[in-house]
Amino acid sequence: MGEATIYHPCLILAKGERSDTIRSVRLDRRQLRFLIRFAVLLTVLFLVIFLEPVDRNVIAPFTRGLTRVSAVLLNVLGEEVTAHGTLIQGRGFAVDIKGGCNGVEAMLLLCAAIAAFDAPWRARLMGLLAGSAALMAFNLVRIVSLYMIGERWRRLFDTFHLAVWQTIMFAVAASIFAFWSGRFASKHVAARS
Amino acid sequence: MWLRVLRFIAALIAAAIVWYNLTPFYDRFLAAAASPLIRIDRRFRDTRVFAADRIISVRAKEKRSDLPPADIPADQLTYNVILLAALFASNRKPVSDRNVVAFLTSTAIVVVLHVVAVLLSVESTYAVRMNEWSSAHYGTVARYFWLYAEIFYRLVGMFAVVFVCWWMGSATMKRT
Repeated sequence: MGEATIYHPCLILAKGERSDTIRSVRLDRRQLRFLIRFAVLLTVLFLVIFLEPVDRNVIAPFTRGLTRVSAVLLNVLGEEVTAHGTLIQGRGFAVDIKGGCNGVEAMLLLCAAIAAFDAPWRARLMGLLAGSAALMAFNLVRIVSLYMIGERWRRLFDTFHLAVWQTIMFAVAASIFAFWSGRFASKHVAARS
Repeated sequence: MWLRVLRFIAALIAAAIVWYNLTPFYDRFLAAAASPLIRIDRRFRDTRVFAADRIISVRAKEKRSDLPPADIPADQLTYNVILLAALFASNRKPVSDRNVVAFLTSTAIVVVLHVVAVLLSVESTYAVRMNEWSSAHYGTVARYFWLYAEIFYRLVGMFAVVFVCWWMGSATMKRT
């Protein structure tokens, strides 16, 4: 209790009080604990989604569902596509939604960060549910927009697929975490300390 | 709030353009920096590591060597700098000394990570994608280790490191 306010330097990053620059990268114990928990949780969650039963019973059906919803949205927008498994096929273009494109990795990062943060379990649960839902919504926008970009401007597809949307997805995950930890979780930490 | 979103979008576009245009030069630096690391593994002691056309290549120095050639798309290892720049640009005081120092420190960490990522990709490529050569030179555990290490880096690790750097920078800025 109350240790969050104590200023413990991270020995790797800061030795002594030599300058403002060095002081600025100090971590207190709570932050260090968060980083360790985050790294462990992220690694564990990553390994879990690669387990064959998890992939077969959770990830694969989830990705197929995402494909179907994306196809419905594309048809609403007048694209005339069909969904087969994880493939969205149109008149002259098709996208296959694979691991890395289903938004699960950004969700893992968000879930690991929220679960690792020192906050009440109810706030964590709310953050996990709302954050994951927001990321899924963004991922639908990503898939729909990537299909439309690929169909119209094929040369831009790779750039948007790799550099732009992947960056946006993880930035959204980071922003959701920053918003959640600032609005909800920090009240708890302040109350404790 | 909206100003921060706008700064994020502007930085994303600017960083993507800078990254795309500087990548060919940066790849050469990465190849040169990763080369001594790669050669620590005795399987690659007599190799040349070089970059051309956004690809980092590994070739045997001797023509008689049985080492197969490997080509690694370098773009897929380094584009997390776009996220790094965009996140730091979206901070409250983006041009404050602390934010700039935190950004530069984070960039240095990410550059070191890129060198390690080249090593991971080379090991993973040779461990699992060279058919008979792979099974002759790597054990089962080693093959899985390098494969999962590479996948972890590409799918979440490269972004997680950027997220941690940004979070640490933001946390220390809020506190001071």
